[in-house]
Amino acid sequence: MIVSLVCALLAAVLSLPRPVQDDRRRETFDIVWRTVKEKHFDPQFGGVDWDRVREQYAPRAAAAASDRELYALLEEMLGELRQSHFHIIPPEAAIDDEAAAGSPGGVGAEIKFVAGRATVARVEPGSAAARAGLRPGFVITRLDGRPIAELVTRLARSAEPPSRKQLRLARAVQSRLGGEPGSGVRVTYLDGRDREREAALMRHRLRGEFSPALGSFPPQYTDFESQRLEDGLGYIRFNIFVPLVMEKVRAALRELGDAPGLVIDLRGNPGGFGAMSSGIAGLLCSKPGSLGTMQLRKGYTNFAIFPQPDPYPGAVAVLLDGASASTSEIFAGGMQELGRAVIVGERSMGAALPSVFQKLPTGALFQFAVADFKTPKGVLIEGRGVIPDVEVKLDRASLLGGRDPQLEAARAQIQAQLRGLKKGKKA
Amino acid sequence: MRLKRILGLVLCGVAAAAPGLAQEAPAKPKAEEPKAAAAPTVDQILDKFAQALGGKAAFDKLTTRVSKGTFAIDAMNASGPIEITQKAPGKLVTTIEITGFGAIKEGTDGSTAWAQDPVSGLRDKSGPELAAAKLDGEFYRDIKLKQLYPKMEVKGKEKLGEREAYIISATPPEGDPEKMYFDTQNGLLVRLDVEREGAQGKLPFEIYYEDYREVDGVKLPFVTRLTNPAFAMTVTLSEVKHNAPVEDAKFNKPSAQ
Repeated sequence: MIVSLVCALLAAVLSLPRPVQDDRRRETFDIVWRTVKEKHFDPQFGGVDWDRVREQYAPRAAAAASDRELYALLEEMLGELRQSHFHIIPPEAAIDDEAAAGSPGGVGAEIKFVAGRATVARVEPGSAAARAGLRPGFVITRLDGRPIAELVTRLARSAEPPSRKQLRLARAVQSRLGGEPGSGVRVTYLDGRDREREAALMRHRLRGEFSPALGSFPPQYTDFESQRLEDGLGYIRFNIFVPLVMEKVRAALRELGDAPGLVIDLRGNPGGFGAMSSGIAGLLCSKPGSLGTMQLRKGYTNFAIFPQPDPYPGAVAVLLDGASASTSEIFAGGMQELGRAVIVGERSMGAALPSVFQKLPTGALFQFAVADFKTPKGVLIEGRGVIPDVEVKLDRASLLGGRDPQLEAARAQIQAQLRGLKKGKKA
Repeated sequence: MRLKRILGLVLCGVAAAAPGLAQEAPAKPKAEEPKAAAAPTVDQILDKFAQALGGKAAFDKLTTRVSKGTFAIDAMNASGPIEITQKAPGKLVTTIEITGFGAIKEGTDGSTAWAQDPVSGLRDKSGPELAAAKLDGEFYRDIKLKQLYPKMEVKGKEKLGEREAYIISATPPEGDPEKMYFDTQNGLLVRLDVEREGAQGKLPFEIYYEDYREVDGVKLPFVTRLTNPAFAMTVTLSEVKHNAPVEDAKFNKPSAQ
């Protein structure tokens, strides 16, 4: 009897007339528009006439035939602001994130878009990718028979800046390489001589771990690495700023405390918890300071540095590339201006608006920026990025040769600083 | 009142970058010109507040308070336990535990103040932030507002939803004036607008005190809602114990991680 009641209720829900769905869409549109109107950190919306935007988009939203169509329209509307961190995350995307938490599998290859191609940038020793013979510099052309070019063509239609497109492409390829441990993926690639090869790889559990969920912020795959390089310099790399990383950074700095210099590799790091930029800076700086300021519509917050006991005293270089965003940029931009780190690599993405999430009536998440971010000298990172002190591009030839020209340049910078310090001491 | 610093800590320490929330700010009340003849004085409003809370004699019987409950950031879907320990005359330590982040603690022993969280580490408070921490740490704060705020002025009456409140502008020895809203009927403090400045910035907060309940002869708000243009948090107490022994060491600055 209960089953039949549930079935009846379910049938009733499924047969609800369309206007109910439309109301949810209308409400969703209103919330998104009004949230920007009331909470955008700049009451002038960067010169965009937001009331007029409503006039343009409201009729189109009312005519949206599906949630998917509405999300595309909302993305377009938010795009009028020409700022990062204003996005609609459809419910299915959030479900994907949750699913990923239970399947920390992959093939152990890191992908970057180099000269417009999905290029293997790093291969984890002992991984499926390594065993299959994949090497840095190889170019992925198909996954399970589907051409990567399809993704490139599809994203080409997006109005996003090229650096963001490249990041999304790299992530799309990376996520297709990932999956349940034990499942397979067929990888077609160009080797070092541009010969097309194919390998069947079995995904395995990756060495990283998932951070615990923090409210609506889903678990994130976290890969942390620290080591002492051959020249005695310390090296720390992590793929995302989540609280889980903090204790690892502290431990690594205790271990590497006697290293004369330290490279912090934030290439491909899309950001995460902004407060971590200050926390890590507090482990590297001996004086209080600020990495920059977030201006909200009312009030402001500082990325204040609180020096912790025995901060790391050596020279610091930070590696960035076009996929380094948000918290990576706050950290690097601030440290650069404070003169505490030299920045090496490529200009970062320029997407440094602190944002929050709101659940919409349709189930999607609305990400919106609540503040802008400026460095201590007042430089707006959004749309500009952090410009390296030493610009070095990653190229396929170097990767094929087993070299990392950006890391080499960072090490050279630190060594030059150390030589300069020695000379200064002698003088 | 002490809870506003926790919101600041959460906002600066956690949400600055990612996890989200957003809650509709309560509608701005419409200010009404004070009716000079009807407006009570600062002393009258504060006396009524003190009496509404239970009176000085009731507070004088209390020397410690341990409050436990939960905090919730609905839009972020985050919640967790909160514990507030107070000891007369000016000691306070507050701890909230956020799953996936860890414990955020802050405290004052009456002369120094500190904060600690898993990301920023441990720090001392100074300047206006220290002054605010000491003010918040005052165990008998609610019945000695006149002594703690050198300048207080009645600013009129405003409608807060269905109720009306007298507004007092209160200027502490250090920092910006705060706006206190006292219910015209029952005399209780129902809202506080503050703008606090510290090393982590300057942010305005609106704090709403609700669900006053009597515990050991004094009334305490069991629900406190804190809102900011980008952030909102609700603290709900489930248990308040008075006069339990509390060691002074509990308020000392902890060691660094």
